[in-house]
Parts: sequence; structure tokens; C-alpha cells
Amino acid sequence: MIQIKNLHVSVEDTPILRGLDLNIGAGEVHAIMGPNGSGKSTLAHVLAGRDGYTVTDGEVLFEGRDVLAMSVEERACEGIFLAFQYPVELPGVGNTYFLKTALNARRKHQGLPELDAFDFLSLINDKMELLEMDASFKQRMVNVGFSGGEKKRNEVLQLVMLDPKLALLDETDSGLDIDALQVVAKGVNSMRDANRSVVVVTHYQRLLDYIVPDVVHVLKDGRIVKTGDKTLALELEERGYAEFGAA
Amino acid sequence: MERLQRLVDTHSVGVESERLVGVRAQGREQFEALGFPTTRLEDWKYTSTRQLREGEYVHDQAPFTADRLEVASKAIEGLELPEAALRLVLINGRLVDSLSTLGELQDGVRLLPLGDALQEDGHELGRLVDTENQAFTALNQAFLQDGLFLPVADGVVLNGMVQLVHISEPSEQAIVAHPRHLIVLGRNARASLLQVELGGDGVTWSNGVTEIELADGAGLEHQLWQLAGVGAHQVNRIEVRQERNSHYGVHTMTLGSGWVRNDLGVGLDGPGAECHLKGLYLLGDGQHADNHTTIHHRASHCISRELYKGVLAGRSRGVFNGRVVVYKDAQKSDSDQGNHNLLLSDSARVDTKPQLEIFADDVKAAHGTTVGQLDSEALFYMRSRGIPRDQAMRILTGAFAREIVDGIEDESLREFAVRLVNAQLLALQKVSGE
Repeated sequence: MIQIKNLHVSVEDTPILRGLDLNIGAGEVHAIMGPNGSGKSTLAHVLAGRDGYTVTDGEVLFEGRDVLAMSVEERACEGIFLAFQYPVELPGVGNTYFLKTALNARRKHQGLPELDAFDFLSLINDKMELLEMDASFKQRMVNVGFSGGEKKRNEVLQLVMLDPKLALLDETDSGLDIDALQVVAKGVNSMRDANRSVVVVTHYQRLLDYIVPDVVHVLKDGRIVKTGDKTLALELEERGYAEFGAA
Repeated sequence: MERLQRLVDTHSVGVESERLVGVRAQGREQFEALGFPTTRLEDWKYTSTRQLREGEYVHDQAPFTADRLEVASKAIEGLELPEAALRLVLINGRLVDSLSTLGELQDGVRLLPLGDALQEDGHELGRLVDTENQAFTALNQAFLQDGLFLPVADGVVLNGMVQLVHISEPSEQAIVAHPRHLIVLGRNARASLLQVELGGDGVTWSNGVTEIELADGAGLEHQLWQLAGVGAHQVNRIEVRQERNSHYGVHTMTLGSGWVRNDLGVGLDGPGAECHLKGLYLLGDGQHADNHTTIHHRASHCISRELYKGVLAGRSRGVFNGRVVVYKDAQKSDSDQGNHNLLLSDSARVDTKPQLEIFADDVKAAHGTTVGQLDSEALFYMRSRGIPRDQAMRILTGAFAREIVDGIEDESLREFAVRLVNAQLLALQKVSGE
């Protein structure tokens, strides 16, 4: 699905990622864990195409194509989705309108006709039910006045609506209580299949009880320093990141 | 003044009352004494009248030929205005009977040409304006000719909308016109007024004055749409006087018209009166829009709400000056004012100034102004969901403008507004490019 080779990224001349290699196959769920400042969020943002990050070396291939050469919207339309750690409020933009516009932008890119109002409505109703969201969220402005948990739930609603091939979850567990965490996990798990990949970026092991990863990576100082199966996450939870100090 | 003489020479005067002749003469004297305002005056600091002062303007005296009427008629049709109960059309300040639909007037409502209004007992033109200090109002008086006089009797609720369309039609020479309107609502009367400024791209100058008197409990919903072409200069003074428990709501929408100066004054003279002033200016390259508003809280327990928003692209310029005066006896006044601007280009500029003068002690007054750019985080967020950059920008500017448009209660007017605003936002985006 996605291959990252020797990726070097700087922010304002400070190197953050320093030769990161990562391969994620179709259908796999990878967790990327690491202490604060290790470059976890940078990786997620670079893949989504945010400004302010300079790729100084390396390459990223998504289904064999050069991701770094694509615009932000192109990446999204090709099927890369980033669930934000801090979802952005859009005053004056209705949630339903936003979702419909995004969904149709992707469909247009895929050469599909726009979804008609009825199909769209039944899709969003299904997904909101899955995520135990109140119907009033449809009318509300995107993330405006939402609690932290509601914002994360709304991110996952966008995720399941837009149906990407690669989902990047950036600290989606932060600020969630256990109930919300389970709902979010339910949403993500609902899309797990052989053709889709998920990258869970997190500081804590907690979310991984619910979204069980196939592979766990430890990121430290901009490099993957250890890779293992789901037990690695438990190990980290017990012993902390300290022993990965001198990578 | 040689220029004034040219205006006099090109002003067609029919058979008119002595009174009208006298009123005009007074206006002329006052304008001569005042002259054009210059940027040395605080009120005109950011808006130069040089183009008006130095332009060789004349009045339009040409007959309304079939061709001219056809062009005007098409322009109005193309706008797809909401349905009107009454529509008055003026071209270059002169009433065009054949394009106006005066229809059957309901009881208690009259619609008169302005000249006749001057003969009316009790309805005096110029009560709300100050021609000793307002140069352009004096100039308007000097050449006043046609316009709307709409008196609505006590308790009458007008069925449907009154529309006032003014077309600034360019010709080989620069054209000036002085439309003048007077709207008088009796006690508990209600009306909705849509005022539209249209016109081609040649050099024109419309110097309009509208006076609005609202008696106890009266309510007026007013829309002013400025949609003329790039060469159109518009000086517009609206003065409103509100008696006890009356309500005035206005939307000033500047989407077209190359050079605009609006002076909107509201006197809250009776206790419990309420006014809602909203404005939206969506300016493309080279456009200049200056909104000066003054709200006089003269009586107690009055409410004023004011919100102006601007989106500025290319080399455009916006000015907002919102003055609120709360007089000594106007206790329990409640005033809130905001002006927010979105700059889409580095060469766009806005000067915004709230001006609160409070002489009462038990008053609620708030104001806030902002000037900013499109939120790059919001833009990234939308693009990360697959929405193309251009469309995301349009959605965000639309969302910014939406607060004003959504405030329009009448559904047909709101739809009209959404259509025009969206079209203008699209045009602005083309101006700003990447």
C-alpha cells in the first residue's frame, strides 16, 4: 500500500525525521508509538501534505505513485485520509454540506457521478448510527462548539464516509474517555478489510486494546528503532520508552 | 463654480412649483458654500472625491428611446429580482413610467412622484438631513427631480415588497443623477423595501438621498444592493428616524459599483426603538467601498445591532467607520457593533474604525473589529478531505459572508442574495487567482 524509504523531513531547518523506513501492506494495521517529539505527528502530516515541512531526502510511494509530488487534495482523492489530532472548526460550513462536498470531490476524481441526495442521506445516517452520533450533528457547523470527544468522533465519521484506502489516525485517542474510545475504535474496525490499511499514531497503548495492530513500530528521534507485534505495545506500556534512548 | 454651472445647464426643468424651485436654489447655495469634501476632513480621510470633483459630469436629458428602454428592461430581467408588489424604475435619476409596475395600491398606501410629495402637507422633504453640513446632500437637493415618496398609513401592513431600481446608464459623457426618496411609515405600519443600484461600466455618478421616518411601532425591512459597473460612483445617504418601539433592519450589500460611499444615519428617538444594520462588501480589483454609519441613541431602552463584513480581493479598498452616540438621557441603551474583514490579496486594504461616544452611565455597548486572511488551517483541513483548493477557498469565504446573508428573513430575498453573493465570490476568486 505505502512504502516510505529513507525519509528525511525538517521543520524550519530542524531535522525531525531522519531516515525513516516503513512498509505497510494492504489490509494491515500498524501502530506507530513513540515519546513526545519523536516525529510521530510529523510523519502523519507529511503524508497528508501539510505546509511547513521540508522533505530533504527519501521518497514515499502510495500504490507505486510518488505521494510527495501530489497536492493535498490529490492525496485525499487517491485515498489517503488523516484524522487530525486537533480537528479544525469551520464556522459557517455545515457538517452535512462539508461531507457531501468532500465525498463528491473524491467521486469526481474517481470518475464516478455525484451521490444523489437520497443515497447520501442513507449513507450518513448509517455511519452516524454506527458511531452513536446524534442526528443534530448533521445540521451543526463543522466542529464548531464540539467537545474534544465529539470532534474525534466527527473525524471518524469523515473517515468512514470518505472510505479511504489508507487511514492515518493522529493521536485520535487523546482526550477521549473510555466510551468514546470504544466508539471510535468500532468505527475504525468497521472498515478493516484486506484492501485497506490503517496507521495508528499514538503515545499510549490504550487505543490498541480496541484497534488491535498487526505491527507495532517504535519511533524515536525521527527513526523507527524497533518493530514488533502487538505485544511490543504492552511492553512499552510497562517499561516506557526510556530503554530505546540510544538508538 | 464652472462645474456646477454645467450641471445647472444640463438640468431639464419642466413645469414645476415655485416651492421646488426654491428648494433647489437653497441646495445650490449650500453646496457652493461647502464645496466637495476633501480628505482633510476626518470623515473623508480614506475616500477621495477627486474623481467626482474633476469629472466632467452632466445630467442625462436625452429622451428614453425604445432602444434605451430595451437595454434597461433586459438589465432588470437579467437580475431575476424577487416578486414585487410595486416597482419603481429610474434611469439616471429620472422616473421611467413604462418600466415601473405601480399596480393596484392597497388602501392606506400611496406612491407619488417626488415633486408631488413636496406639495403634501406635513410631509416635508429634508427633515432628516443636514444640508448645511452635508455637501452631497445639498447637491442632491440642488438638482432633485425624481424619486419615490411612499407614505404608509397607520396600521397598514404592505402586501409584498416595494422595489426601487436605479439604473446608472453611461453615455458618451459622464452622467450624474440625484435620486431622492422619502419613506414614511405611520404607527404600526410595516413594509419591505428593496433598493437596487444597477448600471453599465462607463463613468456615472449617482448621488442619492433617502429619508425614512418610522412612527411608533412601525417596522421597515430595507435592502440596498449596489450592483452597478466598474465606472459607477455612488454617493448614498440614508437617514432614518425611529419613534417609540419602531424597528428598522437594513442590509447594505456592495457587490458591484466601482466607487462607493455610503452614509447611513439612524436616530433612535423614541424609547424601545431597535435597529439592525448589516452590511456586506465583496470587492474586486480596483473597487472602493466606504461605509460610514452613525447611530444616535437619543432615547432610553433602545437597541442597536450592527455587523458589517468585507471580503477584499485584488487591489481593492474598504473603509468602515461606525459611530455610535449614546446621549445623556438614553439610559439602558444596548449597542453592539462589529466589522470583520477578510483580505484575499496582499494589495487589498481596509481601514476600520469603531467610534463610541457615550454620555449616559447605564449602558451596554460593545464593539469589535478584525482584519484577517483565510485561515490556512481550515484550508488545509478541507483540502485534506479532497476538496480542491479553489472550492475550499470559495466555501470559506462564503461561510464568512453567510452570517450576513442568513440574516435576511424573507426567503425570496435570501435566495436572491445567495445567488448574487456566490457569483461575486466566484468572480473575486478569479481576480485573486493563485
